[in-house]
Amino acid sequence: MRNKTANLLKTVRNMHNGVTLMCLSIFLSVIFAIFSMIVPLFIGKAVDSMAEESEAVLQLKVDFSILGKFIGLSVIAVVLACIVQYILNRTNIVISNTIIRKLRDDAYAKVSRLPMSYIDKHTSGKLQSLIISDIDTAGTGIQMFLNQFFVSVMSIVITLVIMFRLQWKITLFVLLFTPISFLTSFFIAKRTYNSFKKQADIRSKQTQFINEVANNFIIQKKYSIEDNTFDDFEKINNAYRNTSVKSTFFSSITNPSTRFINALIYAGVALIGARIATETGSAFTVGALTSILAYCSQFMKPFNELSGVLTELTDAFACMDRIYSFLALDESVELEESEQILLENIINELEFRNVTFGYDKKPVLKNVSFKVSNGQKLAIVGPTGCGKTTIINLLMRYYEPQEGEILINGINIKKIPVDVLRSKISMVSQDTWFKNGSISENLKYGNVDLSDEKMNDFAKLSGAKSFIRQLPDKFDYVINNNSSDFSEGQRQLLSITRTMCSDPEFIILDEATASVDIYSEKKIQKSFDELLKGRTSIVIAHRLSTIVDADVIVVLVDGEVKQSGSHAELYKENGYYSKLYNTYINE
Amino acid sequence: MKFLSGYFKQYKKQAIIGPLFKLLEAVFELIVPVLVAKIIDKGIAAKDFALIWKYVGLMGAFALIGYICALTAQYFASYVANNIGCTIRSDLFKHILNLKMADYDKIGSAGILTSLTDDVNQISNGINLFLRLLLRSPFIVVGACVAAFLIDFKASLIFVCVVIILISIIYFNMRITLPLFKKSRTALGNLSGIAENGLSGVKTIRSFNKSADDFDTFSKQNSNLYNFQLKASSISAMLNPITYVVINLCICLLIYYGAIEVDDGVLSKGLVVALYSYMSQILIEVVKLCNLVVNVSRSLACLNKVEKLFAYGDNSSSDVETLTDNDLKNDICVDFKNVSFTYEKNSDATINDISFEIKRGEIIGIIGKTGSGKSTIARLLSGIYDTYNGSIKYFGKEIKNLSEKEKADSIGFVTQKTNIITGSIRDNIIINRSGVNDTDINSASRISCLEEVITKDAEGLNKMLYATGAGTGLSGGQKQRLGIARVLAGNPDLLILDDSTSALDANTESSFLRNLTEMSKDITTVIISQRIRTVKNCNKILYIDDGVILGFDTHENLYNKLEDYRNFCILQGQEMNV
Repeated sequence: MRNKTANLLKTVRNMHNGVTLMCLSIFLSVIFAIFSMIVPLFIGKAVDSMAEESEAVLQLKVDFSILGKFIGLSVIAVVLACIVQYILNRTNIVISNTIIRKLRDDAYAKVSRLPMSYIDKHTSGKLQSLIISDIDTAGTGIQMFLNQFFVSVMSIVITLVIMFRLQWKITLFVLLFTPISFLTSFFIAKRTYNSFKKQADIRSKQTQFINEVANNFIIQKKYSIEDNTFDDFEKINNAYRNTSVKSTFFSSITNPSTRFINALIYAGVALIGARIATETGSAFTVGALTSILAYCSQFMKPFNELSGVLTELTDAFACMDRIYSFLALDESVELEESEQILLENIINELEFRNVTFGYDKKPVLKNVSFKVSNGQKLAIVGPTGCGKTTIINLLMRYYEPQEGEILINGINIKKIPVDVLRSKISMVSQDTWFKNGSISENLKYGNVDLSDEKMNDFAKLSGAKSFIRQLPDKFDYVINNNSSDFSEGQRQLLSITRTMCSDPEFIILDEATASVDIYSEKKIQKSFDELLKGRTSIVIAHRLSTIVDADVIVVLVDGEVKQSGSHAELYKENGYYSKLYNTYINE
Repeated sequence: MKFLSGYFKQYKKQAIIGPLFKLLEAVFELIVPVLVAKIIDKGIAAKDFALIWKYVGLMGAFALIGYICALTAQYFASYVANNIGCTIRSDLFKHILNLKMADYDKIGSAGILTSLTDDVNQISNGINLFLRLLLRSPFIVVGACVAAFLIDFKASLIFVCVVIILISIIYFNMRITLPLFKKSRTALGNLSGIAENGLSGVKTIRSFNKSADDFDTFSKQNSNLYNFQLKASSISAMLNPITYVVINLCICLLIYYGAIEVDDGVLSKGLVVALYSYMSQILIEVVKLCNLVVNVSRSLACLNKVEKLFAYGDNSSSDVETLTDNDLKNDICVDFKNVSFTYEKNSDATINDISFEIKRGEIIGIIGKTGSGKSTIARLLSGIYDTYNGSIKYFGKEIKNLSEKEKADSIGFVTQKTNIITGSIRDNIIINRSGVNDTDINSASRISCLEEVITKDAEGLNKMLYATGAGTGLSGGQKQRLGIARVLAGNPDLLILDDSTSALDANTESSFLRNLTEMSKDITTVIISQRIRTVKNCNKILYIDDGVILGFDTHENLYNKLEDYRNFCILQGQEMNV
């Protein structure tokens, strides 16, 4: 708990004006509690002004000067309380929203500094829910805490003080009830929280179930398993039915229970108060009784709110815990060596030297070595799962090799700043991703200053122009990465154009075109050829023409280089390559 | 509404008991201020101690009875609301499961998910609030006013004014803040979208050195959201102080007015105190009432959506025919006669007046470009769509007249994409079918070449797969093999492969195709592909373009006779030396 509070304090301290705003919030809470709690006292005094004459006289006379005074004071207190409460709420809104904004910025910025291994292991949905929902829950919790915690505590204190001054015997009676009140509302809040948690568990299970069925609806039809699916669903649904009846019930008994305990206190106070008031010579007036009754009827409210805040806070703290442990994650060490080499020359030679790498204990690449020189094309071939894509990950420095080194012009790429490295090398991968934005924004992604004419030329060269031309807004058409506006083939063409526009020296390309139809494939192949023209490249090859005219062919099987050399050399060797080649031409 | 009343009928008793007890509780609550007034006016003034005891005792008793009433009411409200909610959900789920594919396409999976979860929950929530507050809140508000009227006519005017002022304040506040909150929710949605976009493209973003830019986009929208949120919250934060000030100023007014009446001897002091108590009660209930209105209207909108879903699908079942074992020995497996078909959405290819025949045990290839209609034929063959014109006979029976179950048992349809369900590989092969045993699984995984994937992994068939998230752990080709194994495990009479070997490497594909030819001669196979290499060894190839059959013959014959087909082959590097 201390640790968690420390997290919260850290956030506040990091915030601009955070400490000041926090103090202001606490100060205003106290003021509001005083003003609002004093009103029943004034009202009681006003009621007493109606009994200035002797009680024996049947007709009461009202002392209007006293009445006026206390009504006036009440009005002032009420108006001030109203204003203070608004400023208080406003301050808390600013505090909590500023914290939310700050945490979101921090968390999102953190993503770009995390090692790729973390990103690959966590779905983007998980990170998204941390950045959006968790932070939201934490922020709401903080706001609720600020709005109610100090006010509630102060209200209880002030109520007790005033009541003591009015009639200490009655107050003792009320005090006796305090622990009971608090325990009751705390117990109910806890019970509610627990049963809600259980309900939430079942609900998320149910949502997941429905989601899978809804997304795989065709399976239901294809295998006609509707009845079995429905039986499974009913099991979850009935469990949900039972828990939700309970949890809704528990959550709904807070108010009646509060009212009940309040009513008991109320009755007790009325009894004791009336008894004291009837004692001869008692200074305890009807007005004082009215005030005390008014205080009693509100007495449970702060307790309720406190227990509500406390349960809400457990949730907020849990989220905050996740956020802070995310923010504290180890970041990727982009530059291990102290010396930085900016690599001003063009890439003359790129070499993998005895590189071994695995994502976990199992190595994916074993002692891999190859070399490609300026203007050459190196093709990597091999069966699926042989470690081809991993080469991209290492070259782009998403991951670091465990053994061996990758050299550019003889320099270990660890010594080259990542942004310099990545500005020289471009990758075209199988899964195409686009920023949600216009086509031209995306095409100029790697080269913002590119002129529209140049972009147009590149689009023509790659063949993307042919379908961009048909779009309603042409180059201004807005892409949504998730939508299926574009076919896989069109996305590939856009991705190739994007890389052309950034005009890299060196290209690493994954040319798999499995999900594309035969005509698009032809277009894409043409486009690839245009892209690779005159550039040094490593190509993860899937088609014959690429392989045959490559300067170097590396055959990768199970993470090991089995063969390497030109087509002619390898073909003679009568190994994996010649087998592969023969399957290709015999198709 | 009519729809809902049907459900209420099932829980009629509870639905009546709930609000009734709630009403009782409110009655007891309204009596308390009168009792206090009596204590002040009669008890204290006359120092009648027995009387005070009597009234205090009554207060305690009423409190207890009221509490019991309240608990009873809350329980029944929760009982009715959640039971109706779950029953609706169950009915809706069943209804959706039995929808036809075409209806499913119209609704979409996202629509189904929100209806079954959020919408139904909202309905249940609305019923709960309705049962709890429907009678209570208005009753207390009106009751307090009436009590005030009985005590003093003029004082009751103040009450009526307060109620009107409070309701209009809350109404206007909602009018202003609801659109603002809607805006900030949209802003949150946008932020979420930006985060989703950026988080899913980390690799590409880093490769272009665009991390800083990407952060700026996020941060800008984040500030945007901050501003919206601040504006909306600031306005809604006015609600509490304003209602507070209104009700308390009216209390001051009431006391002042009461004092004059007391001075004139019209009112007693106790009654002024009673009026004061009623005023405090009103505030709480008016706020609740407004919440009720908002929540119930939201629930009604959800109810509307759910009702619309129930309206889908007229399950006018045609004459159901059954397949006998004798039918399955028929020599003609599939017979298309003048079949035409257009999709509802009209986006995909349609086919036009197509006729052909497939014999039992044949392996047939269907080939054509994207959008030529070959997948449409596959879907019609599988019996998923039944709104075609013409006749499709499956072992002599019109396919649309066969029951879903019968079609599913006899026809195996493999698509390009394999829908992974969360569960082990074994679960993914069985997918909840009752009749699939280990022998089926083994032979299916052998034929589909899934075996080598399974044996490679230490966990074998027990390896877990996940439907969502990145961690399926299977490559595209491996997923396709799983999809094929899944269908084969059901021992179909007709096997349809719709582009389902597209992600297999050449070696695996050819060994799978070889395995196919070695299967039982009773199984008819249709292979749909756009690659010549996949279908060229089939018994016959159906070459289709623009929804029309251009040729139906062996590869050699088509190549020699049909120039279009020949060009198609050459394009794919499949020239033949004749």
